Amino acid sequence: MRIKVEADKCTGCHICEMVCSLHHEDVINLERAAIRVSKDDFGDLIYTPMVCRQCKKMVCLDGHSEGDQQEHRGKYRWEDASAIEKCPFNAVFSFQDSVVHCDLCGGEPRCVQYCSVQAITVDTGTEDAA
Amino acid sequence: MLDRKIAYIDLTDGKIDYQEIPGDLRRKYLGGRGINMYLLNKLAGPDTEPLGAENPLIFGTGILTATPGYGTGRMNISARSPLSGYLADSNMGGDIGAELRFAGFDHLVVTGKSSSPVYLFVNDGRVEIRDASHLWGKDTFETQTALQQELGDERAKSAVIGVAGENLVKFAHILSDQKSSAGRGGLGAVMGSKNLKAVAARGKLDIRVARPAELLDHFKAACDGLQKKKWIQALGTQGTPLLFKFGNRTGLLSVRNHQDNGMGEEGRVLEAENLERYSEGMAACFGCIVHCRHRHHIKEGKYAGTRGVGPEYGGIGAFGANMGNTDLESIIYACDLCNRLGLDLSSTGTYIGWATELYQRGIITEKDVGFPLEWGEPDSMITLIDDIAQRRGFGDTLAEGTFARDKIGKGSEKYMMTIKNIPCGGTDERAVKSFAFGLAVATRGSDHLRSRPGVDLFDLPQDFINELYGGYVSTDYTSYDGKARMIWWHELLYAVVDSLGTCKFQTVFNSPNSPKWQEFCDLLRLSLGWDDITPQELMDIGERIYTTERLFINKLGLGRDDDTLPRRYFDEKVSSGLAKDAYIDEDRFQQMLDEYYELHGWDAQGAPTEATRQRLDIA
Ligand code: SF4
Repeated sequence: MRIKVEADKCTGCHICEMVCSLHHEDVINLERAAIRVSKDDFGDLIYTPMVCRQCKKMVCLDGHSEGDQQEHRGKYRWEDASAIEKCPFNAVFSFQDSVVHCDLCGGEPRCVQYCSVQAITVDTGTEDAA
Repeated sequence: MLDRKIAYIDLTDGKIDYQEIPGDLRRKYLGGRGINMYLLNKLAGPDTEPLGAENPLIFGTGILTATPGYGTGRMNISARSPLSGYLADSNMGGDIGAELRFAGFDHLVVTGKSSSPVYLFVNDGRVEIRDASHLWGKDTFETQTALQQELGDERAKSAVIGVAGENLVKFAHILSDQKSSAGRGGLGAVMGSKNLKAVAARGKLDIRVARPAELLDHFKAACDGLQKKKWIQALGTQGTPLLFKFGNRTGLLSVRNHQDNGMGEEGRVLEAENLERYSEGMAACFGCIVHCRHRHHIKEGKYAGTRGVGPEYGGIGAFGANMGNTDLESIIYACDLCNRLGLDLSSTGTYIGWATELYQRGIITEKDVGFPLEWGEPDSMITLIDDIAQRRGFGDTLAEGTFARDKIGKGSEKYMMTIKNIPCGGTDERAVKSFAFGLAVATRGSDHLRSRPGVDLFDLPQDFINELYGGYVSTDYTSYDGKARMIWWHELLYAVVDSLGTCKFQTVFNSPNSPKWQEFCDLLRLSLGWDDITPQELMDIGERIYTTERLFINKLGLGRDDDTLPRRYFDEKVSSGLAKDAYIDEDRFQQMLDEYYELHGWDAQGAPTEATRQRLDIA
């Protein structure tokens, strides 16, 4: 299962980020969100939600054991900061001393429920990293 | 979230003072426009020169900005207005309000004047004054891009002025992103007068809410409910331009500076459907599910390469109907140009329309302007927009806004459509009495967003309307009966909405069955833990805010005589459309004023009485 992104539908409202941080951390802080909308405000005006693609092969955790990788999949906070650089999709983020990663809310991603334009939807597959 | 602070920034000596916002002030004025008005009334008065160092330029985010609510991307900017000489207060959307809150501040009060161009960087509890010499002269888009690059962060948001603000054009605006603007009243000129090019914000601080899980559930239910509504769906696909068709048919447009009220068949090319071919999707302000803004792209022709956000109904009115112009692409281009140069596009359209009527009447000639100024000629309109921003030639005269009438003289003031010196936008409200009355009494002058009612346009049952407004209001939009009550009620509601930081499109603006007093109490309970807040207390807060504004403008010399409409509304009948022959009856208008003052608890001259001030606990 993963979150499928259709950037052309996104309106840039940031609701997904707000909801993510409130759900996981009980506060509103987009820096704590595991989904981030990248906005090209002065270029082609495309808003792109960036979120973990649940790659089959977790390049971000290169060097970690298979079991460790699988355990990370379901976790919202990671410790290995090198993941941020290694993710080819810029889809894990740093906050304070840890890494913020989409844990799919344990199977019911909140961001998807609140997106008013279905720019993010649930897809039951995983993806191959580029 | 009540830990957000006020920063007092003095640009003359570079001192910055951080202060807490007292809890009782919150409960009396909430935030945003409310606290802005409290501060403005305290800090400014008749001796405050609008373009003088002492004029406080006040930024204020709503008390619920950046939280799950009803479109919480809003904030207000306020000062004494250089355009009118009275109140400048403008509500804007986008992401900048949220970013200021994440950076730890709800209000910034900027006074003084820097000796060289500067910008403010608001970041995680600190405000820094930084050099902006390299940004001076740049347009609003270039400035924001340069700031993001300089700060190394695409998530840094800023509110900036363009060359119009630098040149102290009296109706210069403050812009964030490509479109969100504090448009009216010349706030950009106030910023320019302080040598302040931009306010940039970036924040990573937590906003705590009282009941996170419940708030999330409540938000979900609210969004689901709103999204089912037809008008939300319509706004989300066509945006405000959807109003053009209705305005044109009914006769609610200003055509050629209010000489006509509709464009008939000829105007149909300006209907919202024709925008679709330029639209590449919609855009939303922070936290908003309505997403009412087009992202447009003109790919071919004379204006190829034009890319931006908008246009709104107001822009189509200003550079379309008001200019007798049916070239939609030129309208889109003109709106973007204003945003880049830092001009309030609505005011710009009004003044250029006024000048064009003066030209039509021979009051000004080609010798004065430098080129012919004809209706329906986008080229001269676009040239003039640029000339105004650069204060070049005749543009320098128009850059004075309402006071240009003193420069031109020769009876030109007769054709100037302003209320309390603020230009009327691209609509003409003679047919809808409540709309017209709302514009006449708005504290800021000609401001439909202070009270736009609309509810009497929908043929609703009489009982329902009476209950909504707590008294009799006629369901007939051409009637004067009860319309004073209607305006009063909406003024209180919108004062609260602007202080919460929510969007008017998610309250009783387009539909009576929208969130209002009770729903706002629910939000305040879940977000702030204000468990005992009631609809009546919120209405009192609205009254306190509105009455504070009234005290401010009264102190500057405004009174009953200024609660009026341009002469055209009384003297000339609507020429076409369903509203043909409509005008405003002066006696009925005066009667409405009496009723309206009484509802507010103001005396017959429109001055809040001592009893009202005491009841509302206004110092
Ligand atoms: S909630 Fe949807 S529309 Fe809003 S920013 Fe996120 S992905 Fe875009």
